[in-house]
Amino acid sequence: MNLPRVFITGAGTMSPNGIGLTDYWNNCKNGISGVRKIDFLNCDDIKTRVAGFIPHTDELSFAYTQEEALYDRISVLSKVAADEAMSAAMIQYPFDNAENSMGIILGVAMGGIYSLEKCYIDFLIEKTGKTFYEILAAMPNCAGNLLAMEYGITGPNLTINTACSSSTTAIGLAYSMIKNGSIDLCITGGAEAPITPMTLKHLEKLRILNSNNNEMPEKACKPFSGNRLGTVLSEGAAILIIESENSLKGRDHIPLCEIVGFGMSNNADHMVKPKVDGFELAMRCALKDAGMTPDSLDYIHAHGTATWQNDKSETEAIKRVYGEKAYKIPVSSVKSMIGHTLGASGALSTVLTALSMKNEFITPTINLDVPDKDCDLDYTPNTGRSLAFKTAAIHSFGLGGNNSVLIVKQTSF
Amino acid sequence: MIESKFRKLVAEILGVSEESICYETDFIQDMGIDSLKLMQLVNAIECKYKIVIDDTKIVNLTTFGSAYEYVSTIAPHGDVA
Repeated sequence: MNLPRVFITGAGTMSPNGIGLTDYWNNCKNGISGVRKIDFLNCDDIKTRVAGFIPHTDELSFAYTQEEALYDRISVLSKVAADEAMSAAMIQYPFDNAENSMGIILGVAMGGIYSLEKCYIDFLIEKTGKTFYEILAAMPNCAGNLLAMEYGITGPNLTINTACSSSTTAIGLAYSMIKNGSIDLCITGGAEAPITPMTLKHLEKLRILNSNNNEMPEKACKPFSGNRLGTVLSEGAAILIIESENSLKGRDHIPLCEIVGFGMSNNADHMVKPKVDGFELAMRCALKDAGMTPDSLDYIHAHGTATWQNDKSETEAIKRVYGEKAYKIPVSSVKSMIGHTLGASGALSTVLTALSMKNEFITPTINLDVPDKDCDLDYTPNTGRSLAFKTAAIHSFGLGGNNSVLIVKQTSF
Repeated sequence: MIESKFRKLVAEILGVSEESICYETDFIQDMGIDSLKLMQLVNAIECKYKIVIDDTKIVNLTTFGSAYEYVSTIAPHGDVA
């Protein structure tokens, strides 16, 4: 029995370097950073003064109902991105006769952390008793559930948390559910709005963040560079509409690309330390699921966080899987331009990879200034370039040892 | 800075006896602690002595002696603070 093919038919993004898909693509293509000095938080006790945040824009000010406190910023970003994705996929809503064949599966790592902090601050410090809906807004499932209400989708509604690989896992799970016939269409991807004093301070304590580029924020995130000093905390959302071939028939619409493989693994080792074996396993599982051999992969969008260990480990894993061909597969990391959007990062990488495939142009890994003998692959350093490619892998390796890899392919649908 | 008080803090964070820590003890090689535990120790030292340890110096602070000497230079009167 032939399993359904699965296509990405629409996408919407909210990124530190672009409001909406066109901005995101154009700025990534041109190596424009969205990492800025933090100007909206009291950072007195925090060394790190840079983050990838989205400046306020009219798109974020949609009309609230009286339950506006239900919309933590993570849900706002999700909704704006999802509206764009639905429009791009030419899907009309709300659905009068909502079927179980449509689902929503989002990846979220921190959830409504801003709302949660509001609850704690009010309860422990301010003691006004004003917080009410915030505890609901803080729930990680809130963003996906609000989308279901918005679009009238009564099918499966899941929120996936595998830390930094959450949205890649969500997309992979959505792909798997369409493949096994559980659903025909899925709103998937991920979102994150984690830039709060508490989150910044605690990630800083783990020495994950680069606190040494406060005066040149656009240079702070340097994946694979020999002078990398950590990642940058960021916010963002990327929502994808993925659907089966059957769902797409009858609509005069060309998909962005096809999802052909998904692989996952857990390192079963350490909450923070990357593990090459785990990365390699997820990569090989994805290739196997796609029915591909390593020599048929054309491009990699890396996890590339700019932490010392991740970049070194990811490079070694690429070499193990692809052998000598590793030196011929171009690699990019969008985190160089937008920082680490945690739960949204895999989805933002996936959308960018799909756009790269469609436009035959791979985006740069900026800030790659100093060579590192342990990171010696072609990371598309500093300037993007034209490349027509047919297959690509998207890597996501999360805290807790959660590794997810997607494989996408150019479609002739 | 009083070495015995610094040793007591290190022992408490690493969950070992003070007697097991000598000047040359290497946190990673001899005690088998991982990078996360090392960051926890750095954090505890920063909180206790009200200092900020430069990220680029952490890689050199792998022995008790090197950590004590470094912290002593940036918080010489740390125990009095």
